[in-house]
Amino acid sequence: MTPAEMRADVAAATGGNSGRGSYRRLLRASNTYIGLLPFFVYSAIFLALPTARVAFLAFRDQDDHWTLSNIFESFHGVYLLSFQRSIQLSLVSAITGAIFGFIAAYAITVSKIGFLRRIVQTASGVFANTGGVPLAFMFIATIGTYGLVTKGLKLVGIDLYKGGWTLFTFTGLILVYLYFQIPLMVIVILPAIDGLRLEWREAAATLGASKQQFWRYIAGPILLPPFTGALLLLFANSFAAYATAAALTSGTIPLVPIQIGSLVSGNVIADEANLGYALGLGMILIIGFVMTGYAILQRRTAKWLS
Amino acid sequence: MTLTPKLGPGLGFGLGVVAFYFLMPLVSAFEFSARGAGNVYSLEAYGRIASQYGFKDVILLTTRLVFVTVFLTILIMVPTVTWVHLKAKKLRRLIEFISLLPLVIPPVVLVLGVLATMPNYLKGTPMLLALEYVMLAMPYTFRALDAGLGAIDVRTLVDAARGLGSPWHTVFMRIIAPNIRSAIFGSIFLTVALVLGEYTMASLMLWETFPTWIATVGQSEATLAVALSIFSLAFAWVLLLALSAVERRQKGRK
Amino acid sequence: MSIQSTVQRSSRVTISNLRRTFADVVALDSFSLNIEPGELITLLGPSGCGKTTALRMVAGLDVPDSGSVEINGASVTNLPPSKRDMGMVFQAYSLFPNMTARENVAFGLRVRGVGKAERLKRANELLELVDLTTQANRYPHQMSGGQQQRVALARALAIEPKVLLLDEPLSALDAKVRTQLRDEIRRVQQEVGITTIFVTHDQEEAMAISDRVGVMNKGNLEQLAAPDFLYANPATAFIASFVGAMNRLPGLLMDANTVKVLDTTLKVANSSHGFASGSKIDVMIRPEHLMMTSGDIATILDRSFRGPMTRIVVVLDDGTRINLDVASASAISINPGDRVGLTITVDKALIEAR
Ligand SMILES: Nc1ncnc2c1ncn2[C@@H]1O[C@H](COP(=O)(O)OP(=O)(O)OP(=O)(O)O)[C@@H](O)[C@H]1O
Ligand SMILES: [Mg+2]
Repeated sequence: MTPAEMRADVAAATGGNSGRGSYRRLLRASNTYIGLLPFFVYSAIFLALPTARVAFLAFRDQDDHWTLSNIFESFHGVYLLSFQRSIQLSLVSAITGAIFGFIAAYAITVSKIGFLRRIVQTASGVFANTGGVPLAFMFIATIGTYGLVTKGLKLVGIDLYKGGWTLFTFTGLILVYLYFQIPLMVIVILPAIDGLRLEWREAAATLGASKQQFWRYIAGPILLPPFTGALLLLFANSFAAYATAAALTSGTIPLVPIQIGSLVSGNVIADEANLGYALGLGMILIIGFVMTGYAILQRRTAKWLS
Repeated sequence: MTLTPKLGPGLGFGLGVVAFYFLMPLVSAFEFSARGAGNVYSLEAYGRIASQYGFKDVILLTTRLVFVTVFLTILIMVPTVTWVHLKAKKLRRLIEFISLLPLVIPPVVLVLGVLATMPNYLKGTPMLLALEYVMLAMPYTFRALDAGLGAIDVRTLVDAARGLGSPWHTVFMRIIAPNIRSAIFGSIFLTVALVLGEYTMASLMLWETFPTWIATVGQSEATLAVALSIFSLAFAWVLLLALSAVERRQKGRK
Repeated sequence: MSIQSTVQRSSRVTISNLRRTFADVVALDSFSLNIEPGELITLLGPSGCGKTTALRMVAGLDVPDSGSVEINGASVTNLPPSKRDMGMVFQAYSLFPNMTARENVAFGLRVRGVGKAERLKRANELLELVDLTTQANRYPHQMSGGQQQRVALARALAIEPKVLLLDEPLSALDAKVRTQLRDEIRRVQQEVGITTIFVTHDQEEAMAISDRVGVMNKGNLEQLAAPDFLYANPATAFIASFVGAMNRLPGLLMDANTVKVLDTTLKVANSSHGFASGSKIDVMIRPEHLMMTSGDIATILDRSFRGPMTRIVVVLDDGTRINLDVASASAISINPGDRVGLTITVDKALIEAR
């Protein structure tokens, strides 16, 4: 599994913890924990502590007093706009990615062409992990001002840049994000599509259902949870992405990660010093919420399609 | 009239569009990187990579980061996951949950907290990056090792060996390590790919690693930056493909 | 009862010369079958003989290269499955996972536009028929395999189909549930009075529940008869060895109609066998048609206890192995190595090339 495939597989981890009684018993047997001490200590220092600090500082002011003004600020002006833009960007790229990813996954499934499926699967595992600066440059070379596609389109009389559009805008960014969103969708949704049994089609048909009715009453409802789950995963994926946007837009589009980035880099007005923490806390909450939803939907899917 | 769904023209067209979307940037990037002076194609940009200002330092730092991250990851995760499987099966979910948290806490937020908590002597060294990369890689390394150990019955194997009187280090080297060798390789590939591509933390902590260097180069030399991007993507892809290959072989063996 | 009164449409099924090939595999060669209204016919045969293919043609899930299917005299050969009114039960996993048992059963009525109250009422009746009222609100993944198949049966019956088609509905279940459920299927079928085709490769199952059994071989129907008749009068050696256990004993053809085996003279059951007098052939004798006597023509090889009966394996001096069944009570004194005699207790047998 490539990282993206593993990310798609978080549901298993969040499955119900069985037996609280046994937990207590284990607690007493401190023996069990000794070997895990390095792991716990390491995660505490390098993950839990910094995260807790972010949450803490989100409620502190310059003079180290409790305050809600950071939180308040993060819902106003350019920061509110950033949240809106980030959410819009993630929504649009998630929905578009989900649609195209679904089409691709469905197409390779029904094509029954073995090698096509293997190629698409492997390529998805690889492309879903493609991001950051190299991806940005790849698209600059494609539909940047001097990109190959831009030049090609000009030859046939289409000038992409005539209306003031650039790759460094909202839609440009979406076009780039789809490069990792679509493959992630393929990875996540493929097992669900595979789970659709031919028997269901045939049973529905013998019971008198038309193809439309099959999709409306059976395939649709069955695929809805995994599809929605995939949408959530894609949303979180795009919401957290920083590198591509930073490299491509250099801050021209206000996005939450970009705002945090510039606050870290010290472009700070004095009384906004702790605002970054509030934004960070907001991001964690949103992603945490979305990922929880994803895990719940994945578990539902596992029950239906096993 | 059978009900098996078929690849009709609609779906075929959709698949074609997606394929075009994915192939075009690959072709374009290569074309772009091969644009030489005076409208002739040449691979001269690739030749200039090594002589570019800062190249040696960047490669040196990135390599050090790779080694330290991989070393720490193996040092922490292999014993942890082995322990989970041998002695603390009940805690598996908890450990897995913790190791997945970096997926919920984006690097751009984590870096905020890191800069606010870490002592100055750590902030003064790029190795702080490696320490955090271990965390960022954890969701993947845990999964890879967990799957590797889940595939064998470690408990029985180890009990048998212990019963025969083998000391612990022998048991580990002779029984556990060979069985999770490909899982270890897998997590190494993943970790390397992650370190080579990580931009967010490196750039916000102001260290020049390979990805941040590409961005710097790109400000003055687009062709070279595209060539570097291809180079770096190709490298990551090779790692990821090697990972799939290792997994396929592992599956084939079972 | 209401179920019976609503299904008054027991149909006659006429299947003529169905042929279906996949690439170079002939799945159905020339398959014909007439089914009386209300009859339960079982298609029995080895794996790959075309049972599923035949059933799917009747359901409309597959189209024949040639041949026709008629229901009550009207051809349905070119109708899609959704227009045929066939109730089909699959091997397993055919319940819609997103619907409860009751919703599954009501589905066919739902797509027919039957109002909610009425279709749920009807679904409840059918769940009662298959004895599943307590499971009505469960989802398929919450039910056992046997329960799922009963829901599938109720679902197929809910649309008051003209014909009920079952393709190895019990093969995914364990032995005990399998016998239970096959009897239940028979009970329900008789209660509703619906024309039924049941596919299986388990001959015991076929014998237990069918009005008539059709034995298939290589894409053709070899014999269609009531279970007891089929058992007693198999038309071919293939059927003889497929239905029930069969021994092959070395025999000598005296003339066209008599054969000599183990010093006994028997009538030949298959008249058009084409062997010349004096040919050395095999004679088919069922284990229960052989009796052990005191004598010296065979050696006991093995015995295995099977409840009331014990299976004895003996070997003739020429090496032929023979199975026979004796009452367990009298088998105690039989030991491997003993020499025994054999008597044939029928007067007619099938012969086949050695
Ligand atoms: N879709 C198909 N494509 C190619 N060959 C097929 C297809 N369906 C059936 N066959 C072939 O047709 C023959 C008859 O198949 P069928 O499924 O009818 O057998 P069956 O009697 O139901 O066997 P079983 O008891 O194993 O279910 C087999 O040789 C099978 O391989
Ligand atoms: Mg079959």
